[in-house]
Amino acid sequence: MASHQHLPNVVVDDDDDLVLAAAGGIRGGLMGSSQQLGGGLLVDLHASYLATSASVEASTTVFELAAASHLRMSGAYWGLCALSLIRKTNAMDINALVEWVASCQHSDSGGFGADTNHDAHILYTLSAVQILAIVDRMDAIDVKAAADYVAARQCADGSFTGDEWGERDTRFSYCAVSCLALLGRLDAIDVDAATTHVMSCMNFDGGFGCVPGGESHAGQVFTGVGALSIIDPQLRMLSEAQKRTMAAWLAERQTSKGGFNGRPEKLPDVCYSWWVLSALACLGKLHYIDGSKLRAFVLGCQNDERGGISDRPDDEADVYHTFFGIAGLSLLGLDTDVVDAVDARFALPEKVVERILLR
Amino acid sequence: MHGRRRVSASLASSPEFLEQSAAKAKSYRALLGAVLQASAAKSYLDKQIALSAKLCELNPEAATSWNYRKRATLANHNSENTPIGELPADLRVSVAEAELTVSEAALKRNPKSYCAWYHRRWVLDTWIGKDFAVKPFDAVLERECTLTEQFLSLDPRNFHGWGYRRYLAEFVGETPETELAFSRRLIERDLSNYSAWHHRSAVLPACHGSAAIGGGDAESESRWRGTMGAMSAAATHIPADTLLEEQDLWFQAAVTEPADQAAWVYARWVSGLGSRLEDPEARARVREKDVKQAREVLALEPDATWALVHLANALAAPLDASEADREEARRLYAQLAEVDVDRSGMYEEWARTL
Repeated sequence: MASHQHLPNVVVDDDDDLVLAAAGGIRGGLMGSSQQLGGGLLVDLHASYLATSASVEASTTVFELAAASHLRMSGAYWGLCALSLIRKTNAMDINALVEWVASCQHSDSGGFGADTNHDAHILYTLSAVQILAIVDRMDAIDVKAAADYVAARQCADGSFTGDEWGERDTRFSYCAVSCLALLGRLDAIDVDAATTHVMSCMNFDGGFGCVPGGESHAGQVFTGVGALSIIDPQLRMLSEAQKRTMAAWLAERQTSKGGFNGRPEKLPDVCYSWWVLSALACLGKLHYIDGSKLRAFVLGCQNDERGGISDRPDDEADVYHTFFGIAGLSLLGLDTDVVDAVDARFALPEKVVERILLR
Repeated sequence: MHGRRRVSASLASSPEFLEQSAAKAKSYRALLGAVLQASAAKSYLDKQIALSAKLCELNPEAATSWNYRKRATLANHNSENTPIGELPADLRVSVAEAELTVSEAALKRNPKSYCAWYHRRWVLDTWIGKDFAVKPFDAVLERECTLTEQFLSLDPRNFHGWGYRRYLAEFVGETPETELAFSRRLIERDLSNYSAWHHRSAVLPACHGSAAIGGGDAESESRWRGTMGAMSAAATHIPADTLLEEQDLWFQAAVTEPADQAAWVYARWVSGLGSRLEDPEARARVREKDVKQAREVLALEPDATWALVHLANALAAPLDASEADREEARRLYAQLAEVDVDRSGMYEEWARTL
């Protein structure tokens, strides 16, 4: 392992977040002492942590949340989806949420901003659609305009831009494919070109980078294999050798601490519980890693006083890691008494995906 | 956020703490509100542009603020929508430098900001374009190369910095040989630098395919892009002699630090390329060297996981494995299932499907 892991008291900046800055944690002392100690998932504490983080009041008075306004739509999706997985959506005001989501759709382009008055971007367009998918309220927005916005992001080489300013990234390929599949509009893009582009971002280690030649990291691997899995759940565009290399690289992300890192020789981080596991699930290789050790690592990152899950033990919790920790536990299937099943390709509750795809 | 130490419940609920947080939230919201308002009004006054710079520095991922700045450069300096190449050179340089300065300040706060790195690309593509090689534009590019080197020395694993370096290499038509030499320099400085190994894998095929990276002409650019990504067809055309040299490189690292994954992942790739060579004799040379080198590492450290994996995979190579090789590979996978128990499911499957 990297030598810096052995150095105590050194803060190593190790964040390679896929969607960047995590929505901040609640710093107010809102919870009483834990009622659920004993090694399991602190469901009630997390529910109240997530619900409070999502409140309008907190978003104006808690600095970390106010400063996360630029990704608030994703924060709302993480929070809602986590609550849905632990069966606590009643902790949220769904009508107010839907109204706010709809208010973030731009009437000119059809895309969604991260918050009211923020510019539209494909990242937040996907988050908005995911939220509405969970609560089954797609009627609240102009679906055709949203699909047109996403389709208009595709370039001649099959790649996707995030917005009108032209940044291209396989994250945006995933956003496009996932979003359009949820809207029932995959026909709006050139799926073969999208596939070819994602494949051109495959690397020597079997993973995917942001662009051709970009280094693999586990989050990016999920976007690649997730997009390809939505296009073809059998992943027939990948050779057996490619699948094997990719799965081995993903399995090798598990560190001796049980948690996963995002790239070789990096520290473990709860969010990769999701990125690595979901990619392994797409490949049908969840048995390549030690699930119970991973579970222990995630549970050890819970804040047992105020709720929420952090990147590593004893760090401050946030909504992003809380969601990816819970979603990772869901894929492991060791806590089915308190966590619903998640769909690895869409990062949504399985029952939501079934409802939409069977429609 | 990452790496933020947990605050105790008593501190987090103290009135001072809550007030401080609320005050900071209020001032941030005021700044954000002012920028969003200017953006909505399409108003690009100097003082508003200065506020957006402040916001970008404070929160480098505030995308709308960067977009506002892009629009402002176009509205204030090219309202007639003239082709940028026809605008005065000094103006173009000064616009570019002002934006690059804001981005640099933002990157100092967050060296992994997608928005701040992309802003640089947009500025170069839009305001400099193909004129980068001539005065006064060359100075802008010079600065970019220096900045990239600086960020990569601060954090040799910053994949944004690496991405920007590859972008610059393409932008100026750098040769893949230069990039290959650069990767070697960084590997030799730190054998554990996986990003440098990755970079090597991304440029090595280009050294045996197209002559130049980018170079501004569309055809060579697409050839370079086509060879980026090691799984492309071009990657399989790397000659055996080159693969044998690359095996020397990973061996140097593996024998120094057998537990470090970086070189072993590279070794796996080189091995895979070797196994796809058409000439059986060339294929055998690469494979035999794989086996020999892995055994040498194991002689030093009999339980070295990645050496065991490498040896087993080399022995199991589908085209060339004898029954005895397969038998040994099965034994090694069984050993791995014990020494690397977390991944025992993987090794058991590999043994079963051999």
